Amino acid sequence: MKNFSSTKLFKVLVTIVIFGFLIFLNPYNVFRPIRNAFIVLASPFQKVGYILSFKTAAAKEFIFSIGELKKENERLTKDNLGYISENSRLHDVEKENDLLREQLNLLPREKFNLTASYVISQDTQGLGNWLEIDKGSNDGLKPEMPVIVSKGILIGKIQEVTSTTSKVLLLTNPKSSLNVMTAKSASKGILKGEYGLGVQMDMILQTDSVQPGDEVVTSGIGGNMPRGLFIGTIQDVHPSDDHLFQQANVSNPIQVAKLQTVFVVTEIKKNE
Amino acid sequence: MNKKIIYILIIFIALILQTSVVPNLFPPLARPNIILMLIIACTIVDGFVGFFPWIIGIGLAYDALTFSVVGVHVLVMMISAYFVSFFSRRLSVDLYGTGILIVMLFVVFAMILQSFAMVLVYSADAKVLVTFSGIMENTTWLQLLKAFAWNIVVVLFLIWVLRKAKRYFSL
Repeated sequence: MKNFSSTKLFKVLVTIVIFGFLIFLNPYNVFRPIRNAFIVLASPFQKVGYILSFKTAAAKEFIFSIGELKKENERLTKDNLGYISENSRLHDVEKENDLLREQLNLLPREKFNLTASYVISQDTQGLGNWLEIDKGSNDGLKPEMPVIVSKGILIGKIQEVTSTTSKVLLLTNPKSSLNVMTAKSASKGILKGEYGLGVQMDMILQTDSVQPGDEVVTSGIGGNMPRGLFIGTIQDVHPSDDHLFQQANVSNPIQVAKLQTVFVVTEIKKNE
Repeated sequence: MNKKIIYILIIFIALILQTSVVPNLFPPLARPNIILMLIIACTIVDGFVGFFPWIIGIGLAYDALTFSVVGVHVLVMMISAYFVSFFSRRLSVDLYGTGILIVMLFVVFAMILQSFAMVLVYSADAKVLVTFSGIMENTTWLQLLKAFAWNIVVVLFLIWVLRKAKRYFSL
């Protein structure tokens, strides 16, 4: 009779026990040097792969959209006429906006030192929980630094750094928790991620007035996150399960899966 | 030595494709899992015993690159490989005829196991109790079907490549 210890089942069972134990203990920091070394080795290849696949995806999208381009062109010509008159109205709104920002002491976006980074990898499970970028501690990045796109739209923060890469914890990650407020009424709340499905503004006081369409920005309370970074727009407001607070679903305008470049806020410039 | 170099090359390419290329080319939740399909293909071609140490290495490397809890993907891959090995010794596995149905069975099992592993990862990582239905409730049947179809294509391609490599390089 075959010795049980030499069977495949025995090997599988031993592996399950050992790695089950490792999962339970989760010695993340113990394996960190090996993990970092492997990530540093793979990151140049990941960068090339990501850029090539991004271009391929763009070409694929273009080919499939050729039929739609003519219709789109006609629609855009019509819309353009409307935008000309809208533009003159917006000049007035812009002046009012600058005045409001000054009064609310929201940080103008030109006041940040930014480090541009390429995205080289993203959550393989497709749940939009994290990105990997091609800058790390060698470039001055540290955990907790905010990550933005398009000059002020927040998408997450640095969670881990290796020497050449960093992991960005996205707002949609369930581990993400951020102090935010609405730009209009300054109603405060906590922004929480929902497993890549979206973000929710929680713990809004019942007495605060929050409406669909309100813009949500960072409040700057209690952390390294500067005030005034745009997050998204409120979609709907409803009471929390315990009816003690209000909750609001927030839609972020950025499609994280299509990001190629992001900016890390490395420093907030002081007023001279 | 030849076999080790070729396997390392194939595995490294698969890891780069899975982490940096696949997320851009396929929509979320409807994308193939090249690494898992590589495990299935290698177990079919090379056998469980011959491929056993590689499974642990691939799992740990994938955990490193995806910032996962160490050991999660090792478990998924090990159980999938054992399942494949168990049935491939008793049933006829091939690239045509009823052999493909057996391969499809392996892919379905591996996909289900991977989903349970995701629950395990989020339960371990976020310290929140996550049920299987909680993650799957926003996945449509069409997305699952697309992911399954892509996985079948990938595994059949990998089986073909590995058999050619084995013959050409006399592995």
